[in-house]
Amino acid sequence: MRRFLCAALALVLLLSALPLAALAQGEPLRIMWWGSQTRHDRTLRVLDMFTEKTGIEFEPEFYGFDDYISKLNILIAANDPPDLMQLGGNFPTYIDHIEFLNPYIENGIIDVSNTDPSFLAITTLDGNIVGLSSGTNAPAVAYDPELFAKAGVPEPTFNWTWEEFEEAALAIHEKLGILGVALTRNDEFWILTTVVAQYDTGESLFLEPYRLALNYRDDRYVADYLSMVKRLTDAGAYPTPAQMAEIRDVEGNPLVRGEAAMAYVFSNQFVALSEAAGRPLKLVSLPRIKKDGPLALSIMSSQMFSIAKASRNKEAAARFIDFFINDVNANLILQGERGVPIMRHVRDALAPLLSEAEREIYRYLDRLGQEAATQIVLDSPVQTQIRDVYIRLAEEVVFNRTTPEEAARRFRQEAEDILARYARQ
Amino acid sequence: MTVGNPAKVSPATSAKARSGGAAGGSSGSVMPAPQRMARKKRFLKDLLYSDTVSGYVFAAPFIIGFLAFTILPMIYSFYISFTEYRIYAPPVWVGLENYIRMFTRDPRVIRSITVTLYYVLVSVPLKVGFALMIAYLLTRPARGTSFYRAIYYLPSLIGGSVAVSLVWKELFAVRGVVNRVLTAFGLEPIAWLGDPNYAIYVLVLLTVWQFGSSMVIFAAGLKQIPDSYYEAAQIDGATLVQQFFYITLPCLSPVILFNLIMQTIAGFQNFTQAFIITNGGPMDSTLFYALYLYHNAFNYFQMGYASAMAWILLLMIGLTTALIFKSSDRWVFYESKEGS
Repeated sequence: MRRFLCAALALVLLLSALPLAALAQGEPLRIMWWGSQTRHDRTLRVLDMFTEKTGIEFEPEFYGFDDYISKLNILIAANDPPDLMQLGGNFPTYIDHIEFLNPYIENGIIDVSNTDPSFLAITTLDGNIVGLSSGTNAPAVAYDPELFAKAGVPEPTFNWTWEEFEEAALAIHEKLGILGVALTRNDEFWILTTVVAQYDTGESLFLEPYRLALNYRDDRYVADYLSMVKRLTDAGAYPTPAQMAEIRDVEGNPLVRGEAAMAYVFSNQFVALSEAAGRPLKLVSLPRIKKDGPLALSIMSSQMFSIAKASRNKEAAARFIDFFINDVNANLILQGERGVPIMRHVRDALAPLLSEAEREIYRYLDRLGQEAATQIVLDSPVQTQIRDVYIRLAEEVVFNRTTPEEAARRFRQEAEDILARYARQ
Repeated sequence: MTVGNPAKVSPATSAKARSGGAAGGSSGSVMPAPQRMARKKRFLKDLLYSDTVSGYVFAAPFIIGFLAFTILPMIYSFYISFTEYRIYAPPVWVGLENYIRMFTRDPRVIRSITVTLYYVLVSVPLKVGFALMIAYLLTRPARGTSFYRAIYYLPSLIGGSVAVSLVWKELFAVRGVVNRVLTAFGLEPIAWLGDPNYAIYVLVLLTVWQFGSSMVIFAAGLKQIPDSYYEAAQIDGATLVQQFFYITLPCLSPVILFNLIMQTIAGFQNFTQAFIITNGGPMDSTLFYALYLYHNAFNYFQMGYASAMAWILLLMIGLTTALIFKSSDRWVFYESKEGS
């Protein structure tokens, strides 16, 4: 009996060691991404296509965004990153672990002949190509033209101002009793990063592109913005903190249920938003400070696949990136769900198949392209921390615990504290 | 099994055999080779079949797991609590900086400690009291007791799960069930999760609602109290209330102590509910310590700082538990100590 137990234990130990050995031999490409169920389904089908074509196997992992980042951090800390990882504006955090694509483009493994330098620029930092954008997008305001008509408010134009925005939101709330606009405090903060640059004084909330320092002198920019938020909230045209807490996903947006006339979105979310709403919606740019002033919006890469420096299979990974952004059949499955493709031939192939909502996105980005830069937009953990400072202070303003001026002053102070500590190490 | 299996020899005899062997070995250092081999073999056999060794072997899975997944990470976390560690770059030694910053330059730490202490002080007594009350009612002989006990235990089964937190969030949403009931009675709806004055009570309520496990422990404790005590009290003319306060409570006090400590520890560590229902807001009114720790670790990538926070949490829990234990001398009654 004892001997049998010992043998069994030994066997179990041996078996548990086996998968490790198998893994070292097969070497499938490990690939990780975040996203919605639609994205998971479509991406998995594209992986199968690639395996069929090349015999290269995959070991895919996919999560929601927060879990994805946690998992990726753990793998990176353990120096065991996947061969291919999806990254967005947060890539500078991982820059030491990214294999630049320049050599693979030079030796022809990755073909970029069908795109413009401006679209390569959105994933290039200091001359190093960190990935190829899986799709471009830009912040936008989605609105319901029918609700605007019902409230007798003229539809927004590309040149509308924050004053017009405020009037529209208030009028809609007064006439229809619904929210003028739906957004979260997080969105509110990202809008602020645009608004400060709209003053056209060369200032911006953060010093671009690394965003590791503040770049504005006058606290009035932040205070004025907070005052507008407070006026709209007090009037009932703007979501309360409780209503904001309930906006967790695209499908749960009040605009979907007709409980708001506008919503802040990223253009690649517009398809899901329209589908959930089930009625025609439109896209327009963010308002600006002055009618003839700059918009300060940029078209950016929503996300990309980057190759890990520690990967033992970089060439296969590069071949996959080429397939992923260039293969027409693969993109017919992906259907631009990650954003508008950067390759001309892919856009052309998709064009006849576009739904009305997708066409609206193309129209919007085309129009935006006339005055927006295609620009690299970077994100960092220290920004998340500053965002949380903003969220807390904005809530204090909304709850009348502090004034917009005082909040703006404290925002600068706390943000500078955080940035200074970040720079010290 | 082979005849003469040494395992069948009682520990006493095998120990004697072993010491005898040792004595024999020490007398002559020069020994013929085969004999040495035999001794080695016997020593190995003795070692393998001795009770302590087999005990350790069987406990090995736990011991290894405990060392690898608890002790080592703890030691490592203690080390990185003295560093600035941003995950994607190696840790940099900063000495006591993290600990100093917590208490001098980070008002959110103080805020989260206040919120957590308040939450523990409100929710734990309520939960333990409620569990005791229900357990007391359900130990009285009545029909369907076990059915009710199972029903009351249900909320604890789905306990700290994400699902129940999501349900709670929907219940207390602006247009949730709770507000619909309020408006049906002609009351004003309340923004439960959006109001810094109310949000924490939504979380307290969820905690108190999950009183099942404490209730089961109380129920077991109540059954241990001999009926003869109650009979004697009844003969002396004690009322039900008097019986409860002079018999039930003292006899149950060790169980109360146990529940109190377990719930306090759980309260300090509470994370899931706040993470899912309010994410610390509004205005940090539900920023539990564990949640802020998580934010620091996984949103701000300050692993060193988060580790320092974790050690302070351990210290806080340890201190509170010690305080409860110390106070227990005054109110916990052990039958075994009676008369001593």
